[in-house]
Amino acid sequence: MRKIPRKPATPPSAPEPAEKPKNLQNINIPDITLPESLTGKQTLLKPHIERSQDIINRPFFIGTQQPVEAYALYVNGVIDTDTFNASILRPLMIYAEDGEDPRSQDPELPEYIARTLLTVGQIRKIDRLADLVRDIYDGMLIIMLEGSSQALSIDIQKGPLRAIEEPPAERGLRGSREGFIENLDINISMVRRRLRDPKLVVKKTVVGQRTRTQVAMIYIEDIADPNIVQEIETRVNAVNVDGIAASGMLEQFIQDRPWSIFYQHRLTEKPDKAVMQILEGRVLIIVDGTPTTITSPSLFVEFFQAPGDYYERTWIGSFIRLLRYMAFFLAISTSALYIAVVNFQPELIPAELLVPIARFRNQVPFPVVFEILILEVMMQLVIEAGHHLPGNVGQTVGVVGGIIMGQAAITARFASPAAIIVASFSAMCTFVLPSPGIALVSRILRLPMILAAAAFGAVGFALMWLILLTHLISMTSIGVPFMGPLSPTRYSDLKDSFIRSFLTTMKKRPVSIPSQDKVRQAGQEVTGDR
Amino acid sequence: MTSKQLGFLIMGTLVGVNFLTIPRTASEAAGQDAWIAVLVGALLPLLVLVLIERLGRRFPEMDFIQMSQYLFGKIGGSVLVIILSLHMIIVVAREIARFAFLESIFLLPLTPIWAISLLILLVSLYVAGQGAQVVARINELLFYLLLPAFFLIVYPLITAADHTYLLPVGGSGILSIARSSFDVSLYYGRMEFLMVAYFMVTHKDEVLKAGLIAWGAVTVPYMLFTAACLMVFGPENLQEQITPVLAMFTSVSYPLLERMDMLFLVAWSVAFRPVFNLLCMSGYSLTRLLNLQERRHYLMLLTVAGTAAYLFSLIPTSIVELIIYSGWQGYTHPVVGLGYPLLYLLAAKMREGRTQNV
Repeated sequence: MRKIPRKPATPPSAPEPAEKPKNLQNINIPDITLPESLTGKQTLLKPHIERSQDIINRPFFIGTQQPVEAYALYVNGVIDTDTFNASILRPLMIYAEDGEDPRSQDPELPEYIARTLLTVGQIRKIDRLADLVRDIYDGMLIIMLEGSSQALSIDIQKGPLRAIEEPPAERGLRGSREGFIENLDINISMVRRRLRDPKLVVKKTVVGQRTRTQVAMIYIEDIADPNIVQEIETRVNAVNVDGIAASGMLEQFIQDRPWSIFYQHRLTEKPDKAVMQILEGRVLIIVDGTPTTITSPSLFVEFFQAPGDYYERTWIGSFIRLLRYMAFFLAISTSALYIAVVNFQPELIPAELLVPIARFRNQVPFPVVFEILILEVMMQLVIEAGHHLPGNVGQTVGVVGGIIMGQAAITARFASPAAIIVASFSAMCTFVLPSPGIALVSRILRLPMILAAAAFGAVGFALMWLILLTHLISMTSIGVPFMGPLSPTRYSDLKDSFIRSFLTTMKKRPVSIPSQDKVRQAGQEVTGDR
Repeated sequence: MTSKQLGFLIMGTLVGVNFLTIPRTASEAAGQDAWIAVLVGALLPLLVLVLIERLGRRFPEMDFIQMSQYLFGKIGGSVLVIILSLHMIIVVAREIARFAFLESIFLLPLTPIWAISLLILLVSLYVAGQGAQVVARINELLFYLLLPAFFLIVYPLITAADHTYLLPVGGSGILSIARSSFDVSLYYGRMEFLMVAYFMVTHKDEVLKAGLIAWGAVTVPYMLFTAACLMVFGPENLQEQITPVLAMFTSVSYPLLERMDMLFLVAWSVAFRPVFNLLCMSGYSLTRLLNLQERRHYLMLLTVAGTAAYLFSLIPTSIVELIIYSGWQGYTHPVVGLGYPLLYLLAAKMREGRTQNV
């Protein structure tokens, strides 16, 4: 056995580590140093694992001539058993006898094993009970040795993984078909493969005292604004909750305005989109166990953008963008405008159209607002039913339900044809929106618009829009004005808002998102401050 | 707020309901020269702007309340702040009443005035409650959103305008133009809000430039719309229209949309910017005067100011009464707009002289 240089003897009692953030603290586990004897370690560990029957405790001996007693501990089904057998057990049990025998009382034994015997990548030495318990439940393989107060924590996790597929909610005609999956490391690797910048920073932390969910924050060191990075990091580390199950939960803990109906961070499952966001100075937050990632800070206009806009011709991309804004306006407004016009300002309807509308309306026993509200509720239920039924069945329910119920509603004089057109047109407009978040918001915002129009006609409708705009303007995302570049107006960013200008003209990064390096294309001088 | 945002705030505060009626007032005495009267009348807010800017330069580190108390003592300064706040509350009341009556006449004939006024007040309180920066930003956004409405003027100009109605230029006489100019200048009131808003701007050296641009952006459309109404109706017929700008849209048939006046008015119904702008300024002044720091105190005082304005707005019971009250109230603009900065400048000079003597 090769000699390894000895380190200076460690003091008998290791200094207490500095207090960790709340999300990194362990629940009810004494933070004490591990004893040297294996039995002592097992005794300490027993209360914390005895009720977990999925924890495997595998005793074995290292070497054969002067064997050292050891234990391997892991959660069943979490580690890669092939790697465990081939790269850990086999070298320890069989090859350890080559050369000199391991000395059971050598305090450097764990170091020796890690450096010379184990053929796996990530190995960490731990000497405190809290870390030991935490690592077992984090899915690490633990090797405990007789005669050493240190244990080895080895990362050979491998669970069932979903195949990389195109995210159904963000389908595009061109561009990458890849979507994030539920595994954090694979998601990070997808970003790394697209962004090979050595300045790309990946910072990992843990959220949730009980779930101990891994969260990664990814940004480019010399592009992202350090204040924003710091703020996001502070907010993520300040989350003091027993657990989070998905990125959507973390998003709600770090947002600026919890009461708002609007999403304040962009969510995406597409690595190509995430990479473009990072290049604009944003921070990508990936939560283990969720394919949906968060990019922050975000702007309202981003919810109308899709990666395909940049892959298509400028004119096509711009046209589609304008369509989306129009769809958002119509999704919220069509029903309300119909009520306002029919109830308050019928003179706005051309006479040729007014007569048939009035004739059919006359056959419906409800006021127009009630008629529209019934149709809206029916439409929302059909949409929800479609979402929760499997694939083709859901589509069929949507189409058949819509047609049959619409036809039946007219025949039963439950609704007029104009009202059905209005309600279905509003619903259809929501499907044009590329972000599921803004589509959901538009479905809900329609209701207060309808009520305002029912009470005060077009005036109520206009005032509700004023309230909506004021609310949007007052919002921030990690301190960045949410309505930028519209308000405050950043003229240079307007080329990538309602329209998508030529890529060759986008020489600078958007000023609406603070960044350090403002130049995106070479040969461009940056003048003036943002 | 930035100087650019202040510019939008000035535009939003100066343009209110009076935009719809100014051609009639301007042509009352000046006839075909109403558009000249609109230009000349705009000199009053310009003067107010320049005076307040000169005053602000002397005290760049202070806000309105600190400056008032510095120049006139704690009690005197506080009284002046309260008077200006009250003045702004009364202007808010007038604007609420004007909007309510206008919307009652054209859009909500069956809805009682008090309900329309209350609706306007509640929305204004929500907007003003978000703070000065959001108020400035919503003014900026509304400017761009309402801008297309101004281009609606092109169609009546092409189809129904007769430029000979403007002739002979200057024919109504200097005295008539001067009298109309004074009447019009009252329409441009409210620039005195700058006494409070000036000190919220970060780059004060840019205030004059931003103010001049905003002043131009208000004056030119006023003049264009006045000229357009004159060319469509002529000076005599113009006097018979309560809201000539709306009548101009009714007088021509637009392709596809026949009732363009309605659409214009719907768009205009979000334009009660003076209400929330001035509410914000008065709420801010009172909060600072009472040396309160928290947002809830600002919201509380804002609600008090808004409620007072709402109650005042209910005083006129008919459009005739409203016009009479508005006429009287209009005279306070030159008094406050010119009086305040002149008084403050005089006090600053005297204090300067006293300091030098010492």
